[in-house]
Amino acid sequence: MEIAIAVFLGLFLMAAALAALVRLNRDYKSDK
Amino acid sequence: MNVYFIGMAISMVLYIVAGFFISKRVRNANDFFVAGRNAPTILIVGSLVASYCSTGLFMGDAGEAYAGFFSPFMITVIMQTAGYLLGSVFFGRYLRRSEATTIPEFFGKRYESKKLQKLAAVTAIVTMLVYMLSVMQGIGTLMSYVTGLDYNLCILLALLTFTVLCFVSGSKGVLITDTIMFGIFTVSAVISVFVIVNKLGGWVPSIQAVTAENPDVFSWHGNLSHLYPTGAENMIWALMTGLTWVSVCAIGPWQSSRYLMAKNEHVVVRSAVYAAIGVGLLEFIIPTTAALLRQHSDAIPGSSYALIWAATNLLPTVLGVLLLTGVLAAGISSATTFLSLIGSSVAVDICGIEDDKKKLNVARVAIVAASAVTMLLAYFNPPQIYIVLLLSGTVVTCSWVPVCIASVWSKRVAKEGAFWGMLCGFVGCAAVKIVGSVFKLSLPLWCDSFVVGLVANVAAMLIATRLTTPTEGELLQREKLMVIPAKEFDAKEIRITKRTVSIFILWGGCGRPGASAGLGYPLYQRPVSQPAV
Repeated sequence: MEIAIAVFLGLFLMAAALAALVRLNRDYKSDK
Repeated sequence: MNVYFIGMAISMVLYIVAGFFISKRVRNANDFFVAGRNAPTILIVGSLVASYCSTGLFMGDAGEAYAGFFSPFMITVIMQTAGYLLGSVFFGRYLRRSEATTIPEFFGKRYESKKLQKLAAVTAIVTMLVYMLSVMQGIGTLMSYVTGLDYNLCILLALLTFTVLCFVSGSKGVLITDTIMFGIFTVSAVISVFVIVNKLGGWVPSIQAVTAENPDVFSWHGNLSHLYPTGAENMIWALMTGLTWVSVCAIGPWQSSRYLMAKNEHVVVRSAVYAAIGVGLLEFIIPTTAALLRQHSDAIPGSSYALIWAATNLLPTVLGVLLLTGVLAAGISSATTFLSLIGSSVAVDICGIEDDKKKLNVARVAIVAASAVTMLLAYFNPPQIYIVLLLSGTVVTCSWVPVCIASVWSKRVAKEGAFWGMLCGFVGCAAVKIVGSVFKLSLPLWCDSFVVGLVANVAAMLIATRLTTPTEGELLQREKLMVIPAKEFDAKEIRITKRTVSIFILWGGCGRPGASAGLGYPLYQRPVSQPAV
């Protein structure tokens, strides 16, 4: 169970980071 | 009067001196309310972490872990670090872009609604008063325990310190002293943790000793006699509380308001990443150490006192003074942020003053009034730190989160939807908390104040949205929010920001969960199967 919790938390944090990175990439793609 | 009091008194005098020194650089209302909107990453990180970490961390959170609720609590603190990043990218950058003075002013401008601005200000002021009260109780408990002085006198001394600090130097002073205090409590906590664990006999022997006494403490479900009787219920509690705190770290007024002072949007994102890691590490090492202190449960007077007891009984005097001064700094730094935000909200949002000089005067009067109210409330209330902290975090989440999301990401929600959503979320959450507390009801998990408040907020927002349409002005305001200022398109800045966010991916992959899986498993599970003899 401890491993399952750790995996869930790892995925949760990485999903948040990826979502943020995707948004930033999209925003700063069109260089002005 | 003892050496701990002398250390605390010296630190309080130094904070006041720093406040007067910084006040010379406060030249206008912009400096007072948003620190000139020119703060670099280090100051925003310092203020984010210092505003988050209060006596609640060193006494409330440490007390929960000491009581045996370690793993469910750790799940919530690991989850909440994601809130910083999500909040900064999907809300904080837009907040900074709006160039508002307060978050309620941002709502008011976005929806062209003074009514919404005032409601947001009232919810923020109530929440921060409650939060400030709990911090005051923590400071009073801490100081009176270690100095032997009267509880109310201790509260008065701390209150005078941060009231003077806020009064003379405003947000600029708060930002700088927050960062100084962040340094003090972080350094003192990190050094103290290692010395305490060493005194307890080292990491592995301590875990073995605690696990031998109660195998549930470091198990995934925690101590089943603490909150809920089953592991599944404790996990649901952990996930729900985790989501609440994701929201608090993302949009909590005392957190996201720091972004209003950032130099640019890149500073917003970078400071969120570093603050998340800082808060995560502090929330890991301090409660872990408190849980290990269970070996001395016969001497520790109560769960909230675990770390304070260790500071006065296990640490060398100099380090004990440093740690307790650090805990006091954590309390004062949170209180200064709450107080300065209350002052800003009263002047800008409630009174709606335009003139800079008048605005400053009203904010200062509000700061003194809020301090006086807190002093009276603290005088009449017993210290119930953790529960009060939960109340404020949940209430603000329920009333603000859906509106924050809609203000940036929805074209359909109009001012009526935002207003009714915020009102129903606030009332729904507060009602469940108050009814549950007054009638001492043991409510099922699905009837938690967080769930009820959030559902009430979203439902009211959806109904109002079906019945109304946004005005052209509201849609124009949203379009303006979507336009990234040209100065943000600096290739070097963009590269650094993206690299910083990548650090968070590493944090997710190898940091905290890595420590749980890689370090925690052998450390925690081996002692369960092979208990110390």
